Amino acid sequence: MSIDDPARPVLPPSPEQRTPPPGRRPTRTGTGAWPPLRRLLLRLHFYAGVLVAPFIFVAAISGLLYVWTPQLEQVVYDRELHVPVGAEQVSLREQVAAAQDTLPGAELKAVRPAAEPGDTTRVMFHLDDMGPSYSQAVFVDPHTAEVRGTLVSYGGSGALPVRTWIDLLHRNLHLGEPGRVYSELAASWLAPVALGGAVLWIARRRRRGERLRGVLLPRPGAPGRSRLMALHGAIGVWALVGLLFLSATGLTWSRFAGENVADIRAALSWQTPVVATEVPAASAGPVGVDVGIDHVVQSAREAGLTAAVEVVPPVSEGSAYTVTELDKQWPTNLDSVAVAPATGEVVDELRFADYPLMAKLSRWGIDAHMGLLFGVANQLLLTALVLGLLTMMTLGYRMWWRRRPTGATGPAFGRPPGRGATRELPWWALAVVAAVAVGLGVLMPLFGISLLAFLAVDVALGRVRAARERAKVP
Amino acid sequence: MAHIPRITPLATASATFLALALLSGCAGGVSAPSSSPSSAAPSGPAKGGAQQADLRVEEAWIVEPAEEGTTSAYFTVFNDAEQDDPLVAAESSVSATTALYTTSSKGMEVVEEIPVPAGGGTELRPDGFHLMLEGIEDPIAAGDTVTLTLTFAGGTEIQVDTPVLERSVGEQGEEPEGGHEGHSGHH
Repeated sequence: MSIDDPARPVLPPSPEQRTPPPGRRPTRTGTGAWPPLRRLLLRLHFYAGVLVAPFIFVAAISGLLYVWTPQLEQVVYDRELHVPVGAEQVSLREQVAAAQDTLPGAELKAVRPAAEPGDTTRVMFHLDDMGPSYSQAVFVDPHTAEVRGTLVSYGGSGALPVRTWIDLLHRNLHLGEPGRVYSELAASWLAPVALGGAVLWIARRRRRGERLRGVLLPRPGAPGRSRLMALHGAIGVWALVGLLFLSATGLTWSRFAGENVADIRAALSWQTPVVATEVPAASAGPVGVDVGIDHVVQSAREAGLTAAVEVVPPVSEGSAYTVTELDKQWPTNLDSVAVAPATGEVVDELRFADYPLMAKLSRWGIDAHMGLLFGVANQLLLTALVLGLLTMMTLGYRMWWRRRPTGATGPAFGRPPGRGATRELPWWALAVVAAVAVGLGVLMPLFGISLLAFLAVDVALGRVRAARERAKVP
Repeated sequence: MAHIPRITPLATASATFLALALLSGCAGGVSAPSSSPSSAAPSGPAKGGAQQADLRVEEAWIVEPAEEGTTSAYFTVFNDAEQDDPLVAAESSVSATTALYTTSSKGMEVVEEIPVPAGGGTELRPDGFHLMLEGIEDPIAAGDTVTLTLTFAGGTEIQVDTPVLERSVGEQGEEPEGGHEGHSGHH
């Protein structure tokens, strides 16, 4: 008798599972939508979990490292970032000049004046051989204008080399665009796997008559697979919201799903506004005059920008200095002003409080994903989330290993949940499942493509097996 | 009988994925780009400069006269003092008068002083402030050097040895001021 016969779903032997008695075939109207839907979800959760977990392992571990890079940077680059506290500071112009002296002819890109006592000023230059997000950062002691060191700085966060390395590991495993696609695949599948698993776990506990406590804090029961599953399910439900959040925010950075997000944001005018950098002619003042960077920072401070700031000099004729706050920790201070070079007057301002709601949510979501929004608490929460995720994936593999038949021969791992559930779903349930799959597949193209590929292979294998079985039966 | 486990295709696939995932995760090297500083001096012909007290004059040059007896002079002056110190007067070794001009929508007009803000600087240029040397008796040509004497409100007098350059040659050295718009992405 073939154990791969699609008419007889084969479930792994364990006390909680129920196998329909031999010969009885569930009908479409007889037992309702849930049993075949549950088998479908189980099959999906199993396959997706087993195949995608390696990708998620790498993303999770690299992400965990990234969460702690702010502290790591402070330690590794202590010489560049910190100086003994002093009484007086030299002018910002002098600090910038000292930095420029180390790179004669280099184009000044931005300046981050020392924010706290004991900090250095970061003067950033653009070098011809650098990519658009990179700059050469020169660190200057604000008390003496002594140059403390030079490092490559990356991105709006000003990540220094160690953090940049870990950042790229998390984004694309240092593999460029293919790596980015790979990590998008992991992020796309994380949400369906987590949701499907949560549904299965809650249904399982409800079937056993347990209520909320059974879902969140199950009694481990007998040692063995059921204890593993109790841990796997409970951690999964606790972590569900966090995992969905990481997946959704992470996908905004991705290539395919990220483009869809950008298109939606553009269509609904949910984008992040930018302060205007062109100086209107009426407020421009005389041509050729520049009040200097110290005056510009002073004007910005008087306009209410009190946090650490970044000053970007005018990029072209007729454009302004822009001064932007850098404080992403709650409450977010990201106000920016444009200052006319000739007069030192503020000609445009953009307050974070005036962002559209979706732009604010997007900013907060990204900062929470990176562990910046709530400081150390944010970092600890992400750490707990990642450790839970790693534990869950390990438990999943262990459960699969434990399901292996221990007879003389047979597969080394447990058999996957049987196929054929879709045939037993009522048509309306099948329509809903298909609609959800298509919807998700359009929003997250890599999810859609990989699901289609899996289905194609699965159907083909099923046909091959069925043909083999038919050939055997005389 | 010995237990001979059969490795299912699924187990093989997942083991392969796991191995590839972990290997590629370990594979990265330091990926920061090379950090050689860009080559030394700014481009363009040598121009005049001088420094005194808290004032610093750079990039001074005089345009080879297109018509007899009159020409313009340009330079950039930086003020490192705590107070504004405008330029109030100028003289040159070749012209009878040297006037302070500005270019506005109405054309060029004389100004009393050219502002030089504290902690900042002013660049004299064709579409803004400039000096007009008038009454040049002995003709000057590209390659000559003229001495400009600049008098500032605070009392400082600076003498600058200023080369005469053809207009196209002098303007070719002009670089766009300021930095590079570099904020990308949302992180």
